[in-house]
Amino acid sequence: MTTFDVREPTIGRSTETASLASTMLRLKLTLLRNGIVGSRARLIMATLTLSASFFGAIISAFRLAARASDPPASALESLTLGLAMLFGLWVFGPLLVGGVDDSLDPTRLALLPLTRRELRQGLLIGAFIGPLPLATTITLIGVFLGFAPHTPASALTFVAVLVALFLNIGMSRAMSIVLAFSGRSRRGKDLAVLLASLGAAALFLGTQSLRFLSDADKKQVLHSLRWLPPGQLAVAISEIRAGSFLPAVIRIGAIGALAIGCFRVWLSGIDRILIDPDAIRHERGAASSEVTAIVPRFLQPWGQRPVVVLASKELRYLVRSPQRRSSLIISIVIGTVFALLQSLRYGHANPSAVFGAAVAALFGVHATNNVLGTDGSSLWMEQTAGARLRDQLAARSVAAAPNLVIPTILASGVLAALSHGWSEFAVMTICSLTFIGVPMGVGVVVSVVAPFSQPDVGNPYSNKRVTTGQSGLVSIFAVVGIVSLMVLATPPAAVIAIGRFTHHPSVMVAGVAFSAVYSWFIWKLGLRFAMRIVRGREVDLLAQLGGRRAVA
Amino acid sequence: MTSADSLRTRTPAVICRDVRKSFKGRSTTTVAVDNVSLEIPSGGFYGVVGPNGAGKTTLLRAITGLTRPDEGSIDVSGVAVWPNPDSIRALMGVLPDDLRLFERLSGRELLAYVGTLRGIDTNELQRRVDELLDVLGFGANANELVADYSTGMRKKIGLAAALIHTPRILFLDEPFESVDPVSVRVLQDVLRAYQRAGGTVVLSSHVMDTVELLCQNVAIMHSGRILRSGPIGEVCGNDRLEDVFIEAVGGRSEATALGWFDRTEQLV
Repeated sequence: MTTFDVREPTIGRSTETASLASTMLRLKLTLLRNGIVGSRARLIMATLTLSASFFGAIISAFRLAARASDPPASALESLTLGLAMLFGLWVFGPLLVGGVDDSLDPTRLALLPLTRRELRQGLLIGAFIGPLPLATTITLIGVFLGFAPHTPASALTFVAVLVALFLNIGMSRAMSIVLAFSGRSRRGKDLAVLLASLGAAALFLGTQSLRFLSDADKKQVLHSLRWLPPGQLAVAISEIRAGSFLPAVIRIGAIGALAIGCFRVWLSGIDRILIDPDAIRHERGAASSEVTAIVPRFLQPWGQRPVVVLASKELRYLVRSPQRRSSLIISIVIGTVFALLQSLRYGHANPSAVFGAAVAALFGVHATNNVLGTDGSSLWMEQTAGARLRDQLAARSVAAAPNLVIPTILASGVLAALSHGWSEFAVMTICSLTFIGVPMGVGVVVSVVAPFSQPDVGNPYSNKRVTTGQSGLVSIFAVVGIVSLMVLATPPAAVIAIGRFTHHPSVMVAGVAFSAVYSWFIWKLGLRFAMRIVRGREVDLLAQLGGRRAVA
Repeated sequence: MTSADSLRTRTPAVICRDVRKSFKGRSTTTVAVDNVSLEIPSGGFYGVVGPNGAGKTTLLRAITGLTRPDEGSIDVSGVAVWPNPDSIRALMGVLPDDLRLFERLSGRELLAYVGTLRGIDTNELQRRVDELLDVLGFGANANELVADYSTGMRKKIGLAAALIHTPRILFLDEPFESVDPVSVRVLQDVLRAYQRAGGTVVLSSHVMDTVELLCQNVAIMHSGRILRSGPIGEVCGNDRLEDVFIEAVGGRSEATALGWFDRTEQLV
């Protein structure tokens, strides 16, 4: 039996900082190892991630060092961009992973017999250990080797680089403690997810927009980046090279103070999070106490049939669930922006460009292709209440439709404004509604063939099942689904196109009517086909989505 | 004869015959339920007790049509559960252990949702929702989202959802786990009222005292098998259920090996 010598705890009040550092290092490595072992897919993912960050850091270091020999203005631009990207990675990283790092979770370390000072030291040390700090250090070494002058002033460059490291880590920790506070209430968690979704969409928008910027515009963007803290450090490093020490020292001092401020925010936040009781602000549901309110008014004409009731709940979830909200936001922002960028690339002067808005829907098919996986663990409630799987599939695919319709209408509206194709916009708006049955029909089939469980958790970006290797299989079926969707959408699209290009409005109207009937038929066919696929194993499918091992 | 009495004299609430369920892992196969045969009488409380991993949850899931057994047959109120579990949905209410509810509905909305799916008349559903929320003490919390509920409140709303259609049999997996004593009392009172009206309650629990207090019949399960079952007086004799349970599953105390606890005083 394992025995524990309580008189000489591994971490105790008399622990030296050095041993605390080694304990934190071991803790971090153990957590890292435990996160990797257990699944081959996880091991491969972790190896790829670690290798990519390590080699990426070395390449960045060499590239930045090499840029130092460029003309001063150009070298400053490269350095500004490099440091700003590093800063962005640190600051927005916690948002994307929900601020999760067990070794930096004060509530876990608080269980150890540490004094407040030791706890702070331990957390500080832990913050500097890990793959990302290592990669950052390697990159910054490249900056130092490339940009430091071969004079005693290199010591100043060294300080600037050190401040850059502290700034990144300090800002990241401050961000994580803010997230930790937000994570103590469901509303805060939801807000963090919303911000992460918007941040990811903005990042996509930013990177996609770069290609449309002129060189002058790009220079202007880079110039603006200089006003950010990492930009100020880049300017300081350039000034040191140019022998202008005083302004450099002032800049480094200011950013150093900012880094210290970030660490102070973090450390004082740790104290508060350990002492303050949880303060969960409760959110209210519908104000009405009438049971009929479960079905929204606009659906009440369809009565209280199971499929209507199921769809009502799903539509309510579209607004309330952070998972559905983030999925909708991503679909809308990325879909709309993608369609606009493509039209900017290939021309938008012709009103026909409005029809290009159809590509916006492609970013929403992930929702229609996995209707059972989203919050699948709660399906048992509907199952035991007697709901049929067919109704569940139908209702959930209806609730996923906004992911396709909204971005298409938005993109076509903007394109219509650019090309003055308002009649095309009207056609496109109607078509986005009449075509919807096609992706829904394909989606229900993909949903039962390759369901991917996405529990309704606070942070949809932290799905542990992503690393099970199942996502690869799901992706393959998703691609097959998209190809099928494009093939199936061709007939009505062809009729509408003929009407448009032959200037026969009657053909176009007939095409729209045909698309409505046709897509309804495809949806019904998809539902029937999906039910045939799962016939006799509905229970196993729902058990699998509920996280239960279903197959003996 | 009252309606409650007539329910009690009906066919057994549950009959399991040679039920077996196994799960395949990477390299091993775990037999969760190993040829279990069980008869649960109608009316009253029936407790299924066993240590963690005994197979209680899997057995209850198989009976309630949520997990397909590999072999054997299960009848609920004389109706075969498999191969068509939909046939017994209306007869039973279920409160699983891992209570995954629709978190983004309020308690009131959840009950209305489940009741509407069950096809309960609107006026009757309104009455039942209001009464259940009142009896279970939700008050103003009824309009808060389930995501914000405490464990006890989640169990209570889960129980209300399981009861809303007045099922003939109620299956509760660990209904009192992580629930405070006040909520336990409320849950017990509601269950007793349900049982007095003729309902059958099948529950699994680690809390032996509660099982002993509530149940007329009990089954002790270990490693997927039923070790003992029957009226609690017969199973326990003059002993406490906890002692019988520990003896049956072969529990032992290792506390004597922790001799180094003696040094605790030196630390003060």
